[in-house]
Amino acid sequence: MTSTDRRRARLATSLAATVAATGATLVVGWALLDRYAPTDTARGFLIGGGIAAALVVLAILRAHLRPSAAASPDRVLAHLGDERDALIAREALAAVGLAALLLSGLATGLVAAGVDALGVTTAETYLLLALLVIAWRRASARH
Amino acid sequence: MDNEIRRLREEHGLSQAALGAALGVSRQTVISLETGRYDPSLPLAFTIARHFDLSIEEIFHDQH
Repeated sequence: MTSTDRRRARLATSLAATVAATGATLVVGWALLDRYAPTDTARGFLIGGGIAAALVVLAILRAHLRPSAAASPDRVLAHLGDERDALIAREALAAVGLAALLLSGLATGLVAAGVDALGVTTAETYLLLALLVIAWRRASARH
Repeated sequence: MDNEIRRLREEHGLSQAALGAALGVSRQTVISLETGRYDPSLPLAFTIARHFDLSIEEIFHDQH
């Protein structure tokens, strides 16, 4: 097997695993939310999740097909990252994990105080996503 | 930590991408190593030393 064949096989495996995992998550999540969640939550989850899955597939394709243009998140998502990429991901995810603990505590308090639960959890999700981007960029600049 | 990676790479006529490919790391990691923003792990330091046929001490210098 040539190195090109190996690269293609790795790309195919990576894409198949991503599509299978995200597809299963989207279907199960949509089914649960459609049954138990209020208003359009299930549809929002499906659209948001679908967009996220498409971005992940794009990142994997870029890491495999145009390595020179790939950034650290592309390589990590494609499992092609080196030790610096792993360090950056670890630092960024650690920051998000710590923030998630604090924000979840705050969100619980807000909901207990009578604030709309859907709004609070939506705001928390977007805050954590924004924090992930910021933390990743800061870690990349530091290392 | 200071290092001689940029000088050695240029002496060997290698681009950052070519050195990265030889070491199994990205071009961005080579840039970070050269500017001293990233200190490599011991296995990567050994790989770099082997690549240039030098010892680790000849490439990396403790600033203290």
